[in-house]
Amino acid sequence: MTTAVSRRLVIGRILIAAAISLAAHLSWTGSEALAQSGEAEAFVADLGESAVQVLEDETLTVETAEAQFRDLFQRGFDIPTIARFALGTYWRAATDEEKETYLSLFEDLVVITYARRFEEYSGEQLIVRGSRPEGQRDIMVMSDIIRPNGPPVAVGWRVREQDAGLRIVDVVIEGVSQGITQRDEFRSIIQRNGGQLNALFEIMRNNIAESG
Amino acid sequence: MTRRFGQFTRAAATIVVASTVAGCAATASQSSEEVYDPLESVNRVIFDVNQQVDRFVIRPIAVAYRDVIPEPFRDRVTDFLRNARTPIIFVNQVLQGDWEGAGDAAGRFFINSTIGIGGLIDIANYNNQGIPFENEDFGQTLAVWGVDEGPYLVVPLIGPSNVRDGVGFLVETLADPIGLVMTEFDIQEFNYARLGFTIIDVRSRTVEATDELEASSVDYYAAIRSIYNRTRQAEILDGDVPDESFEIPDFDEDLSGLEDFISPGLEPATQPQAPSPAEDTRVTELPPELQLQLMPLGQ
Repeated sequence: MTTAVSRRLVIGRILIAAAISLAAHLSWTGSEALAQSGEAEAFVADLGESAVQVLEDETLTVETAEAQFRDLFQRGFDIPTIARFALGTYWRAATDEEKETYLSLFEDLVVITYARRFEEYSGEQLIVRGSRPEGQRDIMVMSDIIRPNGPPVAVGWRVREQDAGLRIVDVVIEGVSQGITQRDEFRSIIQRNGGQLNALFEIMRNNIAESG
Repeated sequence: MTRRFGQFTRAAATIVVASTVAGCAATASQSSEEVYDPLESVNRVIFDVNQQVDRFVIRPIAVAYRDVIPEPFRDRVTDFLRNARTPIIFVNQVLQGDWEGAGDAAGRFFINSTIGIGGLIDIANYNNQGIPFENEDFGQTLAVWGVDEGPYLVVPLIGPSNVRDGVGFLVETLADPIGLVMTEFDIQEFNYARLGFTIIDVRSRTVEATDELEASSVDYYAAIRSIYNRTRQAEILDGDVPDESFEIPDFDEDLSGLEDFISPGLEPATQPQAPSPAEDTRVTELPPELQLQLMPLGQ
């Protein structure tokens, strides 16, 4: 690598870093941040209530519940951002076609995994405990899921302000980021299959079929 | 032979760490480092066998235990087992130079063994007000001493571990004070019962967590490996994790060129190669204020 190229790279990185830090700075100014954290807490509490409503409604068929969950997810979560993170570096190397396949599989997998809990629901409630800034631009809303049998589970919801409104970009259960666990799983599958994304897609399809 | 009981009680402790999402109070490190797993193919076979043993033996017993025995009684079992572990925790706190932790362990053991009726009631942390239980083991002590974890291991019947934690486990086997005392007095039944109850106690509190994780995983082995490593790291640091927050790029955010060095989520897919000198110095070439901005991203 020549010095000129490396200098250009460095300058490029400085510019990008400056843009990122500026954006981060703008979103974290004083009272605006405070107002945002209150909004984020209300947003998570509201999502929790909506989820419990779906879960408690015994008149719903599995299909209706699943549809309502998909709606809740799209309203509450930034699924494309979560999906991109879970794919790690493989995202950049993927073709547009692969990205499209992956995104649709990812959404199905998430929705169906959670919708299955519809049948196992036994009265869990979500209680928001507070929030703190997380990373450069997010708010971590901390909550407890109160279970009828067993101790409460601490769950953090990483919320980001997007154009469409607040969206969750990661869920942290007892200090364990689900995004990172998922990324490590995906990486393991892809690596064991010679870097082929298709192997991951196949496993995702199987999981969706099994759960559906 | 009798001294092997510590090994099994420690086994249960390992199962907790490994199998639970809900059992670990510490904040897990979000390190992006890939777990070093050169024995993966063998590990996966052992993992599958362990899964079968769990599915057909341990889990059913744990579920039955939870369904039949009322919670107040199960809590007495948990408190008793934790108290029996406290002397070895004390030893580890001392070896780690954690004097406050050692004092807490000694205080808990004294109070709970006397007023708490031989450890049946956790008086020292009654109503969660007081000195909370903090687990330490020799694997953590070795880590504090600077020993690397070595290759990841799945141990038959025991579960996720690594070379360092495995060695720690063997050492504790030989050194668990309560186990040694019981062996000395030739009360083998105590050690057997302690082993059995530890496994069931721990497993009964992780049923939902493991069920959910398994159901939502596309590669359960990889999920457990990742979580074991991260929760273990958090335990070693006693939950005192430096701000290891990581960035999540937006779906349409353009990080080209920057991607593989600012975000742990986006490290190179291929095996890392030795960085060229130019790349190696890229961070230090940045002005200090930008470095500060970049560091949280890079962690």
